[in-house]
Amino acid sequence: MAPPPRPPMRRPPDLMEELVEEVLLRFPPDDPASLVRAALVSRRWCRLISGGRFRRRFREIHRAAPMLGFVLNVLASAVVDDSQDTIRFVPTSSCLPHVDRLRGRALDARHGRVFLYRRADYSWGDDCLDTLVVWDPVTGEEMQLPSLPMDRYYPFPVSFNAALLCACGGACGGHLDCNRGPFVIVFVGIYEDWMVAYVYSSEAGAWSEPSIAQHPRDFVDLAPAAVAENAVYFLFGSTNRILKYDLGTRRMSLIDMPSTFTSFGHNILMTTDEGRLGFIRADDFKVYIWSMEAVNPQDDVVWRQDRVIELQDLLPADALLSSPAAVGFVNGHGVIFVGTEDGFYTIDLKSNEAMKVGKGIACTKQGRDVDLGFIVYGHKYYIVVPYTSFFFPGTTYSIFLFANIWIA
Amino acid sequence: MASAGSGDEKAAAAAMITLISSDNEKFEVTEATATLSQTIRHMIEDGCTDGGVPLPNVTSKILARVIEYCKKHATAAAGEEGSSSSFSDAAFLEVDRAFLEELEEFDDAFLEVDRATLFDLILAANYLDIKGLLNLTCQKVADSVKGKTPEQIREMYNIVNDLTPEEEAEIRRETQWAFE
Repeated sequence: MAPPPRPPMRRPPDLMEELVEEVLLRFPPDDPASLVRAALVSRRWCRLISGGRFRRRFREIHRAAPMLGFVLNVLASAVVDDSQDTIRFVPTSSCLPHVDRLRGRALDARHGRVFLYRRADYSWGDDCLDTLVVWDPVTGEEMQLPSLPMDRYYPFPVSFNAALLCACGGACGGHLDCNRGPFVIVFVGIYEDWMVAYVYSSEAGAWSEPSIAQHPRDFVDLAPAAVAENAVYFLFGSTNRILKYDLGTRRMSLIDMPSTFTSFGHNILMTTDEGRLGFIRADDFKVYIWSMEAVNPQDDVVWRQDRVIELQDLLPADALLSSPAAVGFVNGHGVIFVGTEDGFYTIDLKSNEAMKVGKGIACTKQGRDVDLGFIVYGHKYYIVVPYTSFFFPGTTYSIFLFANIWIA
Repeated sequence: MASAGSGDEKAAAAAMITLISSDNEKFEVTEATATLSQTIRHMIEDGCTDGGVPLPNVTSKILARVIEYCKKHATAAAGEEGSSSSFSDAAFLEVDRAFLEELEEFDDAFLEVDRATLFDLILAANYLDIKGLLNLTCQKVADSVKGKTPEQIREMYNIVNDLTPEEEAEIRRETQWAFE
């Protein structure tokens, strides 16, 4: 005998808009594709997701923007032609596209944007210049900044670095609504005779007048800058000093790094949970974490060693063939990136757990990198610029949609 | 569990509240259970629960489930209060963890319902203003569409697609990566 037919499933009742919103607010922030698919369910869902109120509440609920990926700078050593420096966007979230760019370096990333230096392609024989670009690796949008004020008189600085900041200066209350908002770039460059800092404001669309300081007899390190207590800090490449750019006075000064270290090796700056400057160094299978306790008006710094992490307790044997290097830090998450012979790992400072990221991406310490499809002789190294952002689909589209409804 | 039991007795000694479903069924519950609903808590505070609380938006079938949830969570809350004074720290943590695990298991089993019932529970949790239940049920819906295509989501939750093909194409164009 055939089984009795199943009674038809009762249709779920309609939910009021506010309850649909409650459901959508609980979507995982580190899987932006899920919100994209939800936006395609219906007009109501799309309008809700692309609306300002939803975006604000979503950020409030999920707090720190999730890490959606990281930008990996694969850098050749100075003796090798830097035209082979590569920028790779490596997604850690589902679905986001892998992107590779040649000839350049990511300097910083914040609030869903990456700040890039793009080296001119001289092999084409044209007279194009090196450029500075703000790039969103998720949408592919990019914006070229006007050239540096000094570019009229001098070639691009010998060494440089930059920090991308939110223009609100922290006044927006935890940067909940700063994604894609106005931004500021602090750029420091070392020219032949002096050191110069400029500030670019997206609102003004222009660079500031330069602040000039004495030549430090050093070059700016490529590790990302850290922002702490209304100042931006940059590492130097060959001395144990740190460059401090005061956002209030626009003055540059030099402070010392923790005294037990020389600058050579893989040092990283970070912002601590308390908003102070932190210093990370990996050495002899250990990660040392320091924080700046105080700095007096003469810029004498007191450092405190907060932690020493034994990497042998956290990483698998394959990753410990040689001492790993600290290559990046995810501000707001308390996560360190380390590069090992077995690729890249994150170390969560709160849970003390290590996780492999960017599967299949090699982090060879020297010699050839087959993965990239070209051969680099000599030493090469890596810097990771984490990309944290909330992603909301349909934000440009919503204008079009609302306009339609308005007319209808 | 001794502490949970004593919490129940304490509550039982307190006033009972009568809840009346849309189909006129009466449910006797303790005040501790009823006040997980902010809506009912305010009614009690305003002294308008004599003769029962009519809930015209909630059927007896759904109300029975909601009460089941509230009873469990009210007991857990009472148990935690009782245990904090009578156990040493280590033992308290142990009991605390056991409570949480038990509660989690209860919640998981509680959510094993069909989609229509799940939506009814959301509507009831919203109407009765029970934060925990609203969070639990909304999270369940959010988790249930994980990895689903827009078509599958529409089918699951009986939603009509009123986006025009042009509008749809525009979103897809913007976020092509989400579909690869």
